[in-house]
Amino acid sequence: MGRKYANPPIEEAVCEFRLTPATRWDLTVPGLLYEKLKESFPQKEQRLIQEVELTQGPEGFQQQIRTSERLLFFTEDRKMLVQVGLRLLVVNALKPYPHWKGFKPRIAMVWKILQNTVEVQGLERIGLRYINRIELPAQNVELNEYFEFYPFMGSRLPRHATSFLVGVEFSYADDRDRCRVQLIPIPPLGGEGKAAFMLDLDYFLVRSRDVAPTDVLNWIEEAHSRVEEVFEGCITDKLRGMFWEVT
Amino acid sequence: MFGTVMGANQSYPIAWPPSSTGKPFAVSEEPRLYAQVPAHVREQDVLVTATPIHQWDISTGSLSSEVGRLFNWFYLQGVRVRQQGEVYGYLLRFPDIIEAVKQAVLIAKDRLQEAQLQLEVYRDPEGEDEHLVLYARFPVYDETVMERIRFARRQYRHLLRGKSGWLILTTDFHQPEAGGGCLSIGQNS
Repeated sequence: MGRKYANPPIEEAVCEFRLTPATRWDLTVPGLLYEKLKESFPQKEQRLIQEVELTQGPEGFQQQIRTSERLLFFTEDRKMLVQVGLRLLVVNALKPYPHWKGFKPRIAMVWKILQNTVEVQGLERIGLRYINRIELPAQNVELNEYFEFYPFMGSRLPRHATSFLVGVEFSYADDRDRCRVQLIPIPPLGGEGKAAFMLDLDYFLVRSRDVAPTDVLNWIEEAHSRVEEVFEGCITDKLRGMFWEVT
Repeated sequence: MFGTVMGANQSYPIAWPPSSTGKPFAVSEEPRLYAQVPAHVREQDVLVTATPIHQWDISTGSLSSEVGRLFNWFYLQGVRVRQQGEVYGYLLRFPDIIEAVKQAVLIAKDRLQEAQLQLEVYRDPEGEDEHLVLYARFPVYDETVMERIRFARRQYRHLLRGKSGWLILTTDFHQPEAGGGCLSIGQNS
């Protein structure tokens, strides 16, 4: 059981299922899903999404931009939504985060409805991602006061950096899964004199098809535990204190 | 290739991509990689795992990341964002207008080239109406300004049809303010 905060920095939690091409999917599927989801997610919208795919081939990197249609089903208060694309299902929880006991049942419900609608042959990717926005009350901050995950800069480098990007992938379950951790400075929304950072934790299945559809909810529970561990490992007690731990 | 550095107190497996020797290795066996590790970390028993970059899969389902990227784009386009938290929250609640907002900005920049653009949320004090407003502020206002704004509006308005959010391009007849985009990255040391 992880720590619980009254003022968590979670901006968004995302659970994503990408099904393997073997799963039959046609134009009627989004409508069928909406019929079953509309009691909880009544507000239906449509978007065109541009996806950039980077592939590494014998001639180097190739970039392909794809445009795809996505349906969005929002709850009445627009704090939670389900996105449906081609063999793709995403459950998002926006701020204020409903805590795991509120988010997981929604994921389980959506997953069950998906299984009742299409015959899921396999999972290409499952991801559980937490995007944290951390605003600090000073423009100039010593990162090590707040984070235990930050870029190392050697003694011969300038002491004053205006921006950085740091990212690491940790391997889990014999490299079946990975947890990508990224820390990036972002513009503060709370006005001048503040510094803001995005701590992005994305735990995902690397080896497609290695999790059977029947094991998905166990995988998600495990992913959540790992993300909690990594989050706690990224921050100091000083930062933890700003989130008001609930005992 | 992407390398990760881990301390010895963490017991993660060491791996190497199939294209290489297939043998796991510790950093101390690879002097070239070892030299890249900061000295104070090298004193510990450091392990490096390298992963082919083609395995870096991208999650596309996050709305907050998308709105964050849009804010960076506003900055690059010189669009000032007032009440940033409000605009951010509005776009998170109504993401189906993101494309229309981008198009409106591009059209305004093209059609109203001398104007400074400022985006904010408008709230009707007497009702529940809430929408985005993109103000075009000109150094000089003449009798053609409103007609040019109306012309620009017609170019993007169809993109808002059937959407849950709303955006209007207009002017408040104020003078442009100093500076371009209003986002700044915090100074971190």
